[in-house]
Amino acid sequence: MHSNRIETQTVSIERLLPSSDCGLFILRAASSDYSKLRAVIDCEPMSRAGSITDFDGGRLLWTRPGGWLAVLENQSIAESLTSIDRNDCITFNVMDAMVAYTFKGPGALKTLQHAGPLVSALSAVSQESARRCARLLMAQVPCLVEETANGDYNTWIDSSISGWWWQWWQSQPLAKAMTQ
Amino acid sequence: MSSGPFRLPHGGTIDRSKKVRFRWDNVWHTGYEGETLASALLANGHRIVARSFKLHRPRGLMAAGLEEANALVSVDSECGHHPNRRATEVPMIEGLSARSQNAWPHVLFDIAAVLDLLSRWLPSGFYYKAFMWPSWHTWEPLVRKLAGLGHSPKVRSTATTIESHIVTDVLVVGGGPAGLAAAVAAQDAGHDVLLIEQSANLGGSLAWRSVAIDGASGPDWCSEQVNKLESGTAKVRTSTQVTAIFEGNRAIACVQTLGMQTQLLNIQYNKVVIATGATERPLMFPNNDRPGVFLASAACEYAVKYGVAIGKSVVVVTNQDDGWFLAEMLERAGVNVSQLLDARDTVSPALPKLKAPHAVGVRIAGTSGSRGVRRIDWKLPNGELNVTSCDAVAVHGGWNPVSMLASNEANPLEWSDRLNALIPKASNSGNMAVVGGARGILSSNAAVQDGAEWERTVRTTFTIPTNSGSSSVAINNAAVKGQWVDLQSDVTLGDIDVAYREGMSSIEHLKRYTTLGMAPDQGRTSRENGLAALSALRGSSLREIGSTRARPPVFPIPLGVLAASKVSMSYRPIKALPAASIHAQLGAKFEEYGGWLRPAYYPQVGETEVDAINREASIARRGVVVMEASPLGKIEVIGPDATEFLERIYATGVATLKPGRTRYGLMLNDRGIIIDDGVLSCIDSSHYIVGTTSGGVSRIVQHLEEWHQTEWPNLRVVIQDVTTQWGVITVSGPDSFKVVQRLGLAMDTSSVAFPHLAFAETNWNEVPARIQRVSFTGEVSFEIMVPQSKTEDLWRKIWREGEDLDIAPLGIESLMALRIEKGYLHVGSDTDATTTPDDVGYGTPVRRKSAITIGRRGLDVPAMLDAQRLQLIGLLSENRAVLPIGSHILPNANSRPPTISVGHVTSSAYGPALGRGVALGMLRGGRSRMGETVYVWANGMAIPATVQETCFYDKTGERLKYA
Repeated sequence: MHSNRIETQTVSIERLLPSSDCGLFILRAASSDYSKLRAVIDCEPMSRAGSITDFDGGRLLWTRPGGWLAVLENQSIAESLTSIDRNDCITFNVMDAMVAYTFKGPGALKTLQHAGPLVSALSAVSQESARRCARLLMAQVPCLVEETANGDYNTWIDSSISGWWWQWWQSQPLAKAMTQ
Repeated sequence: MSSGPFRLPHGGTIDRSKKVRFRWDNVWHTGYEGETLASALLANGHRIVARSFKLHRPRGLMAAGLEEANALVSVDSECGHHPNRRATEVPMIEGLSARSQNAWPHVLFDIAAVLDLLSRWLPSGFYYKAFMWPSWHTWEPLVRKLAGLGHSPKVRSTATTIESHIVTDVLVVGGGPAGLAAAVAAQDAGHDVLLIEQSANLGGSLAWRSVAIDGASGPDWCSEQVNKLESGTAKVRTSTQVTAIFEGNRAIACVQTLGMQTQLLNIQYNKVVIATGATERPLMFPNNDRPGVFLASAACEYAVKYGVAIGKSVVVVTNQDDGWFLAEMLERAGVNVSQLLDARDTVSPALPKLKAPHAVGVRIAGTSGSRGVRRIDWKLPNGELNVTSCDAVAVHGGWNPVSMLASNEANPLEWSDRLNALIPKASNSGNMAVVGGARGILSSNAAVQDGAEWERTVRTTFTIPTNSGSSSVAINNAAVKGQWVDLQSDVTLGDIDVAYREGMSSIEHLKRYTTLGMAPDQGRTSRENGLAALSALRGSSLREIGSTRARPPVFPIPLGVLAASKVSMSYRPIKALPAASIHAQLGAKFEEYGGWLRPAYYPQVGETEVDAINREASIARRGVVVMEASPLGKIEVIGPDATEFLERIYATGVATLKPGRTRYGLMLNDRGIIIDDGVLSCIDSSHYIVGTTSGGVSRIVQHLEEWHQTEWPNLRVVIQDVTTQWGVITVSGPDSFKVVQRLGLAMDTSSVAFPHLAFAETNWNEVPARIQRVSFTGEVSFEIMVPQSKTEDLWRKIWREGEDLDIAPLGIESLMALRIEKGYLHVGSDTDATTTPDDVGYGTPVRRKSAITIGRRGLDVPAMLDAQRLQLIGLLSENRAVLPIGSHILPNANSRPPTISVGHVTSSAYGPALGRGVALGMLRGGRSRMGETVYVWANGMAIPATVQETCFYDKTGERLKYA
């Protein structure tokens, strides 16, 4: 198994390991009426492209019209979400299907720019959002990148590809570039 | 060691205290830090540095920048071999090793130069006419040996390329006077600016031109602008080449060095300023390709920037006022100008007073000299022939705006009669400004002003500036031999004349027939002169002639740089199985299948690949095997209209599929071609799992989404790929049910309760599980799905419970042998982009279906109903051997290649139950030829094989049942 951390002078990359009380779901609301979903998360899910909805116990990352990746921090919300009638909101457990890596440090964005046009993708998101997320190819891999509250970046990718992706970041030229 | 006989005693911006040693054609020389290989070669007296592409004529340096057409050299550095580098772009570094190319045994004595003596038989387009007798293949080895420039590296470069993505508000391409002014103005206006300059230094021609801007000298003004940029927000990159501009405000740039690291930059901008300047236009006269004939601006740059004289005695030839100014500059730099010859009958009295004598109304009769110019012959208007001894000629025929990048996004170029050059006419994106020399503004001061006002010129249609310079194009009589238009491709005025007489009257046809403006030169020095030559022949204006289009890349880029990090293991993403570590422990031989790294087979000590596959497949037929099938596609389709949606998607029936059952199905595209197959599992009438081939998941998700979003948005369904959420372990073989019954699944797995093609949601080890009875081996099989993180646990449990039954792992290759013996279709192996359900024996169920489905109508077009289409059949070789996959089927016993193929082998393996080779193939009219003997051409032999039904094993399906 690969190690779970790369660290240079300007950036560190670390795999986010799931804890047992975490939940990860794809939410697909079947209509524009999000009342049932709103009742669970106690706020209005943001439907603008690239928006992030923070709520007590988790956050929703916009992935498509009527679609979010729900990152949950407690199991009770997960249970509430999965109990919503599927005519109102369908949940798909993707806890095992997706993994995240976090990029921290002043060189995080520059490092990510080696893998894909992240700045362009984030720029396309409405500036009204305090934090943004964007779906794009990063190092040829479909990726959902999330701005965190403290200026770091979480990158969500398919779990089957995580080994290859991690090796890509560890490749010698990139490792060298990350130190510059 | 001297730094060369042509080094001027003083002058130049090079650091004369820092000598460096370099090797040229295995001989050591000395140069200075800060100069290029070209200037160092020139200083050391190397006249002939290359051989021309086609005729192997001796060639010397002619320019000082990227427009250099002759001096392509090979350079060896610490990271490998670099062929076809322009000597003018190779920075001088200690220990540099460079070689001439396209010459043998030596650039000074090249055997292939005999081609020059044969040139009268090698006119333009000769390769379309010659080498026809006795056969092209007779000549091919010789032509291939002579073709090409340089040699590909024998070993992989150790250099690496870093790819990066950059976003900027304003991209300024070109760091000359106009580009610098534009960048500073953009920065002052609050824009985020990226300035990219191809050479190592900013300022462009200010480095060698004598010019005052805003009361300061050129270099001082340049330094001031650079300081403003460096102290501001702008980013500046030198030695970086913008090589392409694409629609969508994207540009590609690269930093090519001889070192260990190159860079590939993907740039996204809002506006782009093209400030690429202008390059000098050569003049045409007999033997104008002789080593020692330079562009006059290059002569100035070598003298002023590098302190190198192009010759001891230089003749300047021009038809422009600028030629006189350039001659004056040479004299001031200490170069001995012995004569100035002007083709014009009269010249302005305001031109500089030169030390050298001059003559006007001159026609150049030619140059002479065996290894470089030794004299120039010229005639006065009265016909009097004069001879001037010299060792270099500096020519100036006006200026060509560098418009290639501006025309990259399919922007048109237009001939300007006032400038006598092609300049950008419009920008399709409307986000482009073209400033300075790139649009014909040749004066440095005017270019600076134009650059500063760049924002005013961002528009869709450009106007020709009123303060543009002017040039003229002089065309000599094409009948006079040896007047070179394109030095890189060996194209003369005579070649253009021949091509025109042979019907190539369009510039696009002329270009391809003669190779004018092709190859690395891309018309930099030859385009305008070529257009003018054709214009003269056609008797039409240059505006009517039009122009060829410059396509990316504008500068040559090694393929390795474009590939960037996408090499070796990083070539493309490879997916890993959830239980990969277990397979590794079992000694699996991994191979890539559909983007996944999967076990092909598990060899035991001393086993060959064939042995291992045969052993595994045999165990599957008599005992129990286990394999990981996690990559199989799993797409959930949920919603009230799920059944209706899938009924339209599948060519086979869906509506009759009951909850708790699975069914094999085919998907077609709208032409009726099979695009995927798999099993569809029904949880309830509003919830299905679409099973796909392992490599087809993303494609099928896209297919479903496209049809849903574009054609049937009214259907209430949600489509979600959950492939990697679930790990899948398949247990197969006659004893498989025994193992499954020991797993502790929360369900009844008896044959009655859970028959073939049953599906159930259950629990295993306190986690949700899904299980279905489907088989790709021809034996009783169970596919068990658990959350991916539990896959290894499930595998270990199965392994423990099967140990007493001698359970064995099964690799993909072994699985393939089993499914071929059973005659199961494998989409992608047995099908191609023309295969319909009729071709593989599924025509009846598809045609029987009454509901409208994608591709159904396509099956009724006459070509799809042809009885002689390729049809899937089984093949048994009469010598029991395994037929090679891809082997063609001969039309009859006596035919031999080359002949018509009537089919081919699509899948082939050793059948473990039959104990002989079994194969599937596509054969014309195959289903009507059962029992016939056909002949498969393999390894130089015609192997007889009997046409059979596709199923070789258990035709009644008894093996899919258990007690």
